[in-house]
Amino acid sequence: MKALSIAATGMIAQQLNVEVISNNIANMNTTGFKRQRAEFQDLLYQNIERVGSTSSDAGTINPAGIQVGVGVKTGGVYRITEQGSVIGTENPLDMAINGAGYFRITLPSGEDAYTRAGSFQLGPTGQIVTLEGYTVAPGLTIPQEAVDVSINSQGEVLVKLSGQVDPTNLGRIELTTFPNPAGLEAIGDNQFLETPASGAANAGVPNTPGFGAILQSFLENSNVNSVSEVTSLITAQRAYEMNSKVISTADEMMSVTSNLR
Amino acid sequence: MDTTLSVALSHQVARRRQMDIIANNIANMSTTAFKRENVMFGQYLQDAEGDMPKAVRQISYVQDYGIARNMSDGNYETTGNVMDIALSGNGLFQVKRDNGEMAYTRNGHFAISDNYTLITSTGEEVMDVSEKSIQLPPGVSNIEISSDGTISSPDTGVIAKLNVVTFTDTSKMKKIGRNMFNADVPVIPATDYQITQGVAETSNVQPVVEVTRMIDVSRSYIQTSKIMEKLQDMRSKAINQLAKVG
Repeated sequence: MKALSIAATGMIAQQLNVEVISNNIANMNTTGFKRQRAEFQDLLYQNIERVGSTSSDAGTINPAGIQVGVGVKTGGVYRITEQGSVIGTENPLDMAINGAGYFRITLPSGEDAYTRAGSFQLGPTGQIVTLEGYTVAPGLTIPQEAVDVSINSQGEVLVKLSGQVDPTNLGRIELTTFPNPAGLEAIGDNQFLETPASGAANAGVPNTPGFGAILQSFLENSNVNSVSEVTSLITAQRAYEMNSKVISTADEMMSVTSNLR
Repeated sequence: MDTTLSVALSHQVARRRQMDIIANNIANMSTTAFKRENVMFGQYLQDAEGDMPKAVRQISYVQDYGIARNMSDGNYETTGNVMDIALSGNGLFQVKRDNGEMAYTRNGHFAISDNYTLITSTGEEVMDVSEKSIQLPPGVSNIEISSDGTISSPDTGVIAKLNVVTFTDTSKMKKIGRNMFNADVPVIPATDYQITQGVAETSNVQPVVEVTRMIDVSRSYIQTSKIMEKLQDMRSKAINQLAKVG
């Protein structure tokens, strides 16, 4: 009886669905988090009676045929890169990206990683670093005598040094875009790595076509919508229950058969 | 040989297959643009021997002769992803599989590949009206897809138009897995469709219908088993009692 294994695939799929939803809910307040969605596909089909096969010598054909599917599989869990809401923090080194793009950071291994979480701090030498202490590209250092830091929408970091009238331009925070941002590999700590699926990184100036603008003293919140997550959770749970109901019904039918005298 | 047992058996075999189909519908409750199916049963008549009129001595077996697919629209779920495109009404997107064959799908969860072609979530290239893959300008943002399938962006203008097609005979469509269909009949451009961006079509499985159908299947399966048991009882009684007479 295929119904048993078909329902098992259904239960596995819904279990994964619940896991994805619970991860979204858990990360409701994670800076720069992008909600995920599990996508399901039907598995292959068994042709018991092929569509269009001849049903008689006269050349008549089967109009419908019999195809029995064997269940469901997870096609993928993809990230929805919709803009999250921004919240003011009054920390001059907090940056939110309004639009497309990622901050590039250098991991201790020397590899490049990308993040939307712009909660930056200063390192021991005055470098702009992430909360983990990783350098934010291009590695700007704020001098100790700076009294004020301002970052404009194009990513230029301007500092006012004590005793100077005009602000000094230290350089520009660059943004990176990808052809397919959904293909980036998440490595935790709000960071992503480039993959063949994401396409090659494309660095550019913030607030120019194709790149988002930088908002100083703001952080991007997660784009998780709690109401829709909870309703999806309910749907997934009911679907799980229904698949288990299929299993018990199939079991009942089999036990009737095996109890035939 | 008594045919009652084999008639009952034909019923059970058919009901089991129906159960498999229901299980597949329920398992695919969350599958993008899945279309629910049901089995069509028919009679298979066989003449028994004897002198009685033909209408009386025909034995009717159950035969499952086809699958009916319900192509009605599924539910629509707002995802907020600009690359999720829901198709409502009649029509399918045309996609090209890895082996170069064309396939047809309602799965409108699209993505951009690493070389900027428009692909589905399963990796097939999406075709435009001239059956060519759709190349997006590098670095394109703010993609807009209108209700007739025209892809445009404010920076570059119109890019391409999605090929939405239908079959001359939709009952000949067969599922090939991964949300795709195929058929050996010609395709024609669809006219009666509407495209919405930021929305995904989910399955059109109705849980209530599937569960009631499942209860119906299991009850009638059990009843048939009871009939088979009764029949066995009758036989053994007949044998015993006939023996007593002798």
